[in-house]
Parts: sequence; structure tokens; C-alpha cells
Amino acid sequence: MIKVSITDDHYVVLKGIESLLKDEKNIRVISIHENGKDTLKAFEVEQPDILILDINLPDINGIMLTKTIAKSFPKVRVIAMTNHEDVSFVKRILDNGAYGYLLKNAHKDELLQALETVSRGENYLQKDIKKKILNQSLGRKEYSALQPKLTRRETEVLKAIYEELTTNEISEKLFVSPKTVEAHRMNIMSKLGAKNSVGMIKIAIEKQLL
Amino acid sequence: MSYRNYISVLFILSFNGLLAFQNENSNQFQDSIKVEIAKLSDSLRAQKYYNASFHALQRLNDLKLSRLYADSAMYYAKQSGFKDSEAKSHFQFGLIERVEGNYEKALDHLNRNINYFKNDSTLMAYSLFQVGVIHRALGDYDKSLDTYVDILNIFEKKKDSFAIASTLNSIGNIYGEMKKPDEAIVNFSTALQIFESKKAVRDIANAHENLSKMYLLKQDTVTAKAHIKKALTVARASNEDYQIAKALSTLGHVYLNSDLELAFNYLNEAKQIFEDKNFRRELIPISRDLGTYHQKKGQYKLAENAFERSLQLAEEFQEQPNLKDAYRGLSEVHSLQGNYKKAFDYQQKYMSVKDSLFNVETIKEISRLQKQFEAKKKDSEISQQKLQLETQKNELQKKDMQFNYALGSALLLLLISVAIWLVYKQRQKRKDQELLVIKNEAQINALESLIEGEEKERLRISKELHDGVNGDLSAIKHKLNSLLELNNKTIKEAVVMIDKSCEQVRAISHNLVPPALENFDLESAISDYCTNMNNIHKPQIRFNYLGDTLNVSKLIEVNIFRITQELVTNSIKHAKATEINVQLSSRKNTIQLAVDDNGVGFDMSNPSVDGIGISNIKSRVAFLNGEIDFVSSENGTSVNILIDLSKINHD
Repeated sequence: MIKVSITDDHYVVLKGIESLLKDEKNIRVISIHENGKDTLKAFEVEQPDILILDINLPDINGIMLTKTIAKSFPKVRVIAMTNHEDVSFVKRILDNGAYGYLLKNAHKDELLQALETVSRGENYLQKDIKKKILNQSLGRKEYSALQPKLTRRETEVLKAIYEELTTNEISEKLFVSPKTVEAHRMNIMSKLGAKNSVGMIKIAIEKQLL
Repeated sequence: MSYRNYISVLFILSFNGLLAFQNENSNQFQDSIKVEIAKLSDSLRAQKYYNASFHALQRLNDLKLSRLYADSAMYYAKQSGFKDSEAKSHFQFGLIERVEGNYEKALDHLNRNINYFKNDSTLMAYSLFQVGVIHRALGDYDKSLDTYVDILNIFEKKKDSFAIASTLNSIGNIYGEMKKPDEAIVNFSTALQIFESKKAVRDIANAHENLSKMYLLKQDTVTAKAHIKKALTVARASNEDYQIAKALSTLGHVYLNSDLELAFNYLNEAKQIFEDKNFRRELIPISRDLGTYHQKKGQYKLAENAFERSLQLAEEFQEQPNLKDAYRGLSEVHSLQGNYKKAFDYQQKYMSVKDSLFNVETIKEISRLQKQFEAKKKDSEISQQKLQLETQKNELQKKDMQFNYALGSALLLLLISVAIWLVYKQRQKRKDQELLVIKNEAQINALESLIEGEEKERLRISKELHDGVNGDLSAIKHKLNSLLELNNKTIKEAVVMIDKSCEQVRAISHNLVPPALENFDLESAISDYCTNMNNIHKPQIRFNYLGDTLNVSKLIEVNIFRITQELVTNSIKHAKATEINVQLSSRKNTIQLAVDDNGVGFDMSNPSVDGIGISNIKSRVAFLNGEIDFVSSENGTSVNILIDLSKINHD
């Protein structure tokens, strides 16, 4: 038997989910809440196994609430159920101790699967979300891989520095302010992991950027 | 010749009194001069001729000879270049001309002499003396007096008391002629005192005589008698016959009105002396007075003889006043004798002489008055002219002052106006600047409120869609799902439709306001945006973040996010790129956004390009006080935006 609580500022949603789970034999909805305060208050009396939590709440946002719950009621596992499909939300709430992430458009099967997975102590991410995070991570990896990618302007600045032009000379050549040149230089150094201009040129040659 | 003698001679000369003496023969004198001159040099000849000329005039009364010698003296003076002699010759000529009555010529010569002897006041005084005499003769007593006063000053400086006394005597004579006996008496008395201290006998007698004449003029016969008696005493003590006779003559004349016998004695004695010394001229008044005496005594024949004698002498010397007296005496005597015809004839002659004399006097008086009047007129003219000049000067000064004032005030005005203009311009400039700042601020504020308003509106719509519509749709979907147990095909279709609706709503909501930006930060928002776009669209969109954690206001974040959105959308839609790289970096006060694509690029100069949101980007960059760097070619477009947080003056 899985004890479930639901917190969502939309009463219709609360009732919808409640009615969706009503017929499940091994799932019991012990309480529904419309804000974070009520949720925490109720938890002091009885804690569920799983809390289905919306991110948008009137008093506190779900991500923060997750953190509080993870700290105060470590046995309660949170599954975020929200309209936010952005990776940043997913990552943040997972970082704060959530076990699962569902979008509100999730199918009943997905919800049930999520509840079951999380009750076992595993993480559950809806299929679309999983794909998104994967994509982003892959992009990052490619980006910060052994071969750093410089922007067009950064490449030009790097070449100019290699030609021993000063910042002012570069700024005149590229018709940009010296500050912009300086920002480009800092970015190149950052990307190449160099500590100074000499190191930057050295690494750039090694990486065949020049 | 010592100059004291010289002076006394000059005085005597001024009275024409001693011109009667002719002791020397002219021819004899001329011969002796000829002999002496032959032996001398030019300069000495000039001197000799000068002295000779003086002698001829003084002693010989030969004006012709005197002039001749003066000419010679002048010639030799010029010849030898001896200026002293030349000047002296001028003096001599002045003297001659004066005696001849050519007063203008005389003045001319004398002035030359005076000019030359400016530094020798004594010699100048001689000439001045002659000038005084000329003025007196011309009846110009005032000028004459002035000249004598000048001479007096010179002698007072020289402390030459004798010369002072002589001058005072001359001044007294002028006052006498001006019929001012009181002033004359004062001068004569002073002169007398000096002469007495110097024991100059002849001069003392002369002074007494002059004084007595003045007292007679004042009708004071007692004092007059006293002075004339003193004159007689002094003259007698010094055996000066001429003076004795003169005093006796005057005494006789005075006593005619009081003591006839005494008068007769005095007159007879005087007559005796003058006859002895052959001073015939002096016999004229004596004969007349004797005639009067005899007439009063009833001795008409004797009286007639005496008057006849006076008449004869007066005619000889052309002494008009005496002639007149003689005629009158004769007329009276003949009338008393019953010879009325003769009496009438003499009466006629008397009247005509009297008239002519009167005329002369009148003319003299008139000319004198005329001269005085003219002088006064001239004086008044001069003073008027002076006044006019003064007035003109004043006016000029006034005008000058006015001009200066006008100029000063004009300059001041100019200065003030320039200052005002400068101040005005400065103020205008400042105001313009202030206006520009206010304008900019207003623009920024407008943009800010526009952006904020837009964002708020987006947020509102987004929330409504997301939380409202989407929530409701989800709820309906769950409801339908719970009905799905009944296995209804229509419901399944409805669920799919709701799913699609949900997605659309989410997309719209997302586009309106990125939730990550609303809840987290710019990095998350852009990252999510890129991920989402990557999922939806074909091109590969990568996001890279470098540097420190961002810590800027939502407004800045929103703007940077919107710029990113715009750029990425452009790259996807217009550039047909297959690869888009978004890079955000933050260091200290700068945030840099770079969006590179490998698309077709666009022509910056093409105005239609602006329609695709570049103007939007530009205005947002301007709002953030940032710099934008567009580079576009067929290889793609690079956009770099640098935002200096320290330059953003709004939070």
C-alpha cells in the first residue's frame, strides 16, 4: 500500500488526480493540499510515502518546498508534477531531492508507473523529459570536449593576438571597443584553460586552432 | 658821461625847457668831429658819432645835424657788427623822431633798443623813459603811467634812489597834466624827500615849484606860496639863477591877487635875471603879469607896453596860451582907455586863439577820450573774447565729458551685453544638455516602462494560459482518462485533442515568458530556450556559458533573453543556418552574448533587414547601454553584444 499526498493550487487538478488514483488498490490518497504551508502542517500529523507536488504554488515554489521536505521529512519522496517541461526545472528539483518528474499532460499509466518506480526508491522521469536532459548533456559534452569551439570573433581575436597586435590595435582592426576585445580574450583563455596570453597561444597551437 | 647826468639831461629834454640854450656853434662842432673821426676804427667811430648826435641834439638843438650823426653812427655800428652801438643808435633815432613828433617811428626804434637791452635793465629804462614821454605827448596818460611804473620797478631793483626820485617826478607831472593834483603831490613829495637827502639843489627847487603848481591847481594859495618860497630860498642858496628867476616869476604871479606891490617886486627881479641871462622865453609870462599889475594900478600905457612885449615874445616863440593871455590883456587895456576899436580887434584875436586853443585842447581831450574808449572797448572785446573762448572751452570740455560718458556707458553696456550673452549661452548650453539628459531619461523610461509593461503583460497571459487553461485542460484530461475505463473511442480522441491543446498552450506560455527566467536565472532560461528550440527545430543549437555566476536585475536578464531569442529566431528563420552557437559569458562587470550561425548572412545596409527585429535588438542594447558588433557574410552571421554593468544607471 502506497500512501500518497497531492499538493496543487488548482482544486480541479487535485480532484482530477485524486479520482484518477481512487480505483487503484495499492494506492491511497491520504491528503490533498492547495499550498506549501498546509502541506507541511499536515505532514507533522501524518506523512505520505509519496508527495505529488506542483511547482507553481501560491506561497512557496515546489522546488524550494522539495528541499524543505527532504530535510524535515526524509521519508517522504517527492514526484514533481508540473506543466514546466524545461530542463532547468527538472534539474533543480531533482537536485533538491525529488525522485520523479512528470508533466501534467502525463498519461495515467505514466503516473502509475512513476508512483511505483519511486516507491521502490528509484527515480522516474517522464519520457520527453528524459530525452531533453540527455540531449542537453550531449550538447554540453560536445561543446566542452577536447576540441573547444571558438566563435568567429574569438578566432579573429586569437589570430590577432598571435600576430602580436595589442588590444587597441585589435579593437581598431575589428571596429569594436577594447573592452569587447578584452571580453573575447578572457573567453578564449577560459575555453582553452589558459592562464595568460602566452599559454593561450601555446594551447591554441597544440589544439590546432591556429 | 656818467649815467646820472645822462638821466637828468633826459628829464630836462622831456620838458623842452632848455632847448633855448644855444651856447655852441654848430659849424665849429662839426669841424672838430671831422678831425676826430678820421683817426678812429669803425666801432669807435660809431661810438663817437653817437655821442656827437646826442651832443648836437642836446647842446646845439640842431636836429638835422643830430640825425646826420645818428645815421653815421648806425652805419658804422652795422659795419663793425657791434650790436651794442647799433642798439644805441636806435635809441638816438627814437629820441630824434620823438623830438620831431614822429612818435610811431620813435616807438619803433625804441622798441628795438628795448628788445636788445632786455638783460640790461638800466639801458632799457632809458628807452622806456622815452616811450613814457611819447605816450604822454600822445595824451595816452595811462600807458605813459604804466611805462613809468615799469621804470620805477627797474630802478627800485637797482636801488638807485636818484633815478627813482626823477621817475616819481615824471609821474607827478603826468598826474598834473591829468588834473589829478593829489596823486601828483604824493609823487612830488616823495621825490622831494629823496632829492633833499641827496642834496640835489636844483631838483629840490624844481620839486617845490612843481608842488606849488599843484597846490595852486587845488586853489590852496597858502601852501602854494610856502612851496614857491622854499623853492626860491633853495635856488638863492645855490645861486641857480634860472631857478631863482623861475621861482620869483611864479611868486609874482601868485601875489598878483593878494599883494600887488610884492608881486611887482618879485616880477621885476625875475625879469631882471631873465633879461641878464637872455632867457627871453621866460619873459613872456612875466611881461603879461606886469601888464596885469599896471592895469590894476590904472597905469594903462605901461600895461599896454607890457602886454605888447609879451605878445611880441609869444609870437616869436609861438606860445599859443601866452599869446591868448597877451591878446586878452591888450583888449582889456584898450577898452579901459576907450580905444574900443583896438579893444575889439584884440578881443577878436583873443577869441580866435582861445577857440583854436580850445579846439586843440578839445581835440586832444576827445582823442584822449576816444583812445580811452577804444582801449576800454578793446579790453571789453578781449574780455568778451576770453569769455567766449572760456565758454567754448567749457562747452568743449562738456562735450568731451559727455562724449567720454557716452563712450564709457556704451562700453559698459557692450560689456554687460556680452556678459549677459555669454551667461545666456552658457545657460542655454546647460539647459540643452539637461534637456538632452531628460530626453534620454524619458526615452529610457519610456522604453523601460514599455518593456516592463510588455513583460508584465506577457507574464500575465503566460500565467493564465499555463496555470489556468492548461491546468483546466489537464484536469479535464484526467477526468476523461478516468472515464476511459468505459472504453469509449470518442473519449480517446478527445484526450488526444486535449493533449495537443495542452502542448500548444504550454508553447505559447513559454514563448511569452520563459519559466526558467521567471523562477531562476538568465543562464537557465537561455539554456532551456536553446534546448527547447533544438528539440523543435532542425538546426543544431548549442549553448555555452562561461565565467562567473550572473547577478543582475530581472529587467536586464529579460532584455538579454529577448535579444537572444530574437537572434536565434533570426538565424533559424532567415539565415537558414544548420548550426547556431549561443554563448553567454559573465566577468566582473561585463556580460557578453555571442550568437554565431553558419547561415546565408544578411546585408546590413538592406533596410528590409531591419524589419526582422534588428531594430528591436538595437533598441534593447541601447537601453542596456551596451555595444553591438554585427558581422555578416555568406559564411554566416556573428553577433557580439557587450554589456558593461557599471554603465547601466538603472537597476
